[in-house]
Amino acid sequence: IIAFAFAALFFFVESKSTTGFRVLVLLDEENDKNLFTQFFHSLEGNAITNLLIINCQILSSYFSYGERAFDHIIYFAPKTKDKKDNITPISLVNFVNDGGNILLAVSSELSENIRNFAREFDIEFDERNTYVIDHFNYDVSDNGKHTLLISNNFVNNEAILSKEVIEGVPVLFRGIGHKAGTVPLLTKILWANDTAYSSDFELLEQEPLAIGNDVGLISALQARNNARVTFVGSLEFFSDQHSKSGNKALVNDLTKWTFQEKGILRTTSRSHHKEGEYEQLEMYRIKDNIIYNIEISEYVNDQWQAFNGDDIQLEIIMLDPYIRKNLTALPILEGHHARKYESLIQLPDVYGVFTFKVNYKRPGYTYIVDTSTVAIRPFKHNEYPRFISAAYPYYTGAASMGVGFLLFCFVWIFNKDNGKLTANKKKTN
Amino acid sequence: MAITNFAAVQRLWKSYQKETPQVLKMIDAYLVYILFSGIFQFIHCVLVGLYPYNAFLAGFISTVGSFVLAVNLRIQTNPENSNEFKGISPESLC
Repeated sequence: IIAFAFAALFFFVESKSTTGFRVLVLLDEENDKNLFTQFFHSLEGNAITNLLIINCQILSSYFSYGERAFDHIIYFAPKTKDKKDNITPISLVNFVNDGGNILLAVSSELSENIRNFAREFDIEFDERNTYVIDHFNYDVSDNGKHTLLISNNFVNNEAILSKEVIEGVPVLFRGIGHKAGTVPLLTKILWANDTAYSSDFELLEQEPLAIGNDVGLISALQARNNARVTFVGSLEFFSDQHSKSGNKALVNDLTKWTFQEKGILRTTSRSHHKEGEYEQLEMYRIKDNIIYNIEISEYVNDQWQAFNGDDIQLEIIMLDPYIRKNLTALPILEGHHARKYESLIQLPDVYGVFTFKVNYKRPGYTYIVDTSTVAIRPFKHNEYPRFISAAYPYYTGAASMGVGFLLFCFVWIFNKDNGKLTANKKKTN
Repeated sequence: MAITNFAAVQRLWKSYQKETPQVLKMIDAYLVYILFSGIFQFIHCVLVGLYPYNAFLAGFISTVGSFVLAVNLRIQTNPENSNEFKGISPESLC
């Protein structure tokens, strides 16, 4: 055990991340930090960090007094088998459950603990000492084994990667591949070309774990509590020798996204009121016309700005959704930091306790789940329609009965012939 | 000589026109009016459906009730039935 008490590097600069600035960097050995000087320099330059770079063996726990001791972890220690109780994969998962973000990079010499940890996130790394091999798309500086790949299969998601990266130069990757699962929370960020496969250098006896586009090189999962975990299959990806080509820009984007500086949304307010009124009520009536609006802003370049999405939906739910409607985005006003989305809705014909829910989950953006609870009452007895249009024949029929009877009475009483009848009777009597 | 159906109806109609007194014809006209009103409401209900059932019942039963009362009046004012209504003075029918 290399028991160096390593001097921590503290830089108190204004934080850019929305969730905190305490970063823990874990390395296999202390000297590894020399391999990543440009990467750490860029982190400090980005003013993100209260950066603690230590050897993995020294760390005692990710938590202190029941709370997370760090906000983000950069896990560059694939070889370390943990021997202590507090640094198991489970404690890392607890860290994520508590809201911490992890940027994890492995090499081909990864330990079984890392593979177990990745399985918690539906990512299956290949066995130890395997590489992603591509005999057709390798870099010129490759050492003959065709493991230094060139890949530009980026995910086309502007919440995670900036436009320059998506359309830019390919990146260099040498490392281990993984197979990303089908969990919807998972996003594949970089994957290999059609001609790649993941294997060690022996002759292939059984089918490789993944081939072609299924070989994931970088994948990320955003948990339901919006914590982000990024898995990079190559530790060399961050090293100084590969910081030319497209690697530097992609690394920049990855750290920004993982550490909650990019693709962050929040709702600043929501309200609902009857059409024509302004007050937000707790109880509405069935078939009322309601205006619902919600304001959403996005964190771009260290500022909260109006969000540009156009597919926000409102659901009106009582055990099942009764209404699902797209909200229309109102134009952005000057000086406003949030975008207002509005819709006019007629409440359903059923009474009960309903929830107005905006459930906006898109890959790359934080998940927005915003609910307000509202009661919907039936008609009061004097709110029913006065005349039913289908019943007009019956109304006129009954009225005509009355009118006809009156007319008949008049005719009967003032009829001259009545006298004749009685006269006839008197005669026959 | 065979009397056809149509001839029988025609004879009935002529006899009706000639022999019934004026007042009874007034009541008959009133009865026909009530009948049409009731039939119209019933057909409307059959076509459109029972949606405002209460309104249909109100309209239809008002026609039926008026019909029954008018028929009673006709029975009591018919001079041929005067034997059975000796207790009622003629003035009460006017």
